[in-house]
Amino acid sequence: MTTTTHTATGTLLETAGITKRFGSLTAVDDVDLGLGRGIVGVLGPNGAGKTTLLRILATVLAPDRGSLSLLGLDPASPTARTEVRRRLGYLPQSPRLYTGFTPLEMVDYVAILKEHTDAAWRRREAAAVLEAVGLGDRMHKRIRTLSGGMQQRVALASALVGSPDLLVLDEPATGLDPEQRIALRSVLAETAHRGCVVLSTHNTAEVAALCQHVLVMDRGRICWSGTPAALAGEAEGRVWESDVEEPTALRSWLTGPGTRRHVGTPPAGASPAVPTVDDGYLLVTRLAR
Amino acid sequence: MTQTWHADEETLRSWATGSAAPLLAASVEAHLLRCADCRRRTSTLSVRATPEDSVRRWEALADRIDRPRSSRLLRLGLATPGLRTAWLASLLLLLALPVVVTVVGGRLPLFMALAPVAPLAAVALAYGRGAEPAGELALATPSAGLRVVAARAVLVALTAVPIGVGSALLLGLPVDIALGWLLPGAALASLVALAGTSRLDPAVVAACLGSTWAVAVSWPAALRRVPADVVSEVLASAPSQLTALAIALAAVALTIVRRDAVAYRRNA
Repeated sequence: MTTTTHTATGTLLETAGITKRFGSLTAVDDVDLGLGRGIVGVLGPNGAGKTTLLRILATVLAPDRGSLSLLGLDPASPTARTEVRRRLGYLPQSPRLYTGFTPLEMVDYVAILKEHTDAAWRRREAAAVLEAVGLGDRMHKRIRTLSGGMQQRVALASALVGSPDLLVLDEPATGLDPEQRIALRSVLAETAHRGCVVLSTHNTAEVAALCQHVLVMDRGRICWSGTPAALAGEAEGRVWESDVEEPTALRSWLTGPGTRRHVGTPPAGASPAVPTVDDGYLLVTRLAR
Repeated sequence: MTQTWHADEETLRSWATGSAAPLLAASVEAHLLRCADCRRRTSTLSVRATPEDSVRRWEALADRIDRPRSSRLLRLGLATPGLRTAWLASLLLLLALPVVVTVVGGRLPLFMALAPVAPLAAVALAYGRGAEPAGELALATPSAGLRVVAARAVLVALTAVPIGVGSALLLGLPVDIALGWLLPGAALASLVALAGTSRLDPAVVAACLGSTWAVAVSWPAALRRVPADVVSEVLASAPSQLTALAIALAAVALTIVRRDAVAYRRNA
């Protein structure tokens, strides 16, 4: 299925039939995308292919098949790939930081890799992105002395350095508390204003809080695409609560002592519950199978 | 505390207008905090400092304090634990050579067998995961690829050259043999560089090539069929050296042709 989010502002990221296999496993299977400005969340269970898709979008992996256009350039060509990488920010799933550096040195080092040669500019930019992720008071401490959540934010700051037009973030909210997640939203909103942010998560609450558009991925394919509200809307009239197991439910789970919530076809007489993004997500991933 | 000196008017004026150099400005500021006389004189100067001036001064000072101490190249090269280990290991290997050769005696052409392993190890470690402090994040930057791997390998391998040559001369080896390991070393290192553009693991290729080289060079002498100095002389001879040069050039050329493979993640 083709997924498009672009409006009159044009397409910043386009894929046609991209596929990536590892041995007999097809991690990304024939994915077509057309994304414009804004924040797009990729939601899916573990092993759905989110990380592989994001690695392809971040030019870190080359697809086996299909074509890719990032910021209007084809990363298969070395010169275009370098140009894309100049305007790209990437946060890997398990970012590695050199813990002997301070956050300022780490971000400065990434800025060097991004070909920023003016040292004074780099220092100001590094301080600004660290400030933006809430590490303004820790930028001179060694990374090894920081907590896991703070280290995650150092990596995020490294991705943000140089105001990229395309941000690819693999589980950016891991290790962040709710307050920091709200701060993350405002940081990402700034990039989304001029460019495209693609982030992955397996947390539906994060998608609802951060993203304007959701892609649900399952077994390498995009099985659903739309706004978070529309994802919740998928479960409209198809979610109900009761205190017994229901044969017509596609999925059921306990929500409290003796209370179960179900998605599927409600039996006659069941009173529908207000659907959430969670319900919609569980329903579409089950229907996709 | 009584002040024994006072800032002259020009210095105070340059501070007040923001035109003083960052270090002078900091020093004047420290003085003004303690000297009421100079504070009074500053207040009577007919200048007005704008908030932008103080922001600019502060940034200039912070730039100076926070400026990274090591150079760009050094940061790319040796600021990483992986490369520091590589650098130390190749250094130790070459420094230990005279001792090993003295202890084992001259029966084996040990110098020729071991010295070329240092540049080979440098390339393997430059490809290694530990060499990149930013890990996968670095792959998505414009610097990613062969350029940065090559810069690191050359940086480490180059330090091995004077030490290797020096330790050979210390051993009393003739100059042609002291220099004779350089081209075989370059050939082996470029083969590892080429392996890095394929699906093969450069570290495994380096281990195989290094041990094969060491055994092949020591074998004839170990069997006492050929004296050790003859093996070294054969390796230092023009045909062997030209062969090594040809291999090195061909491997480097192929690596450059295949450099695209280095620009991506090596595995899933």
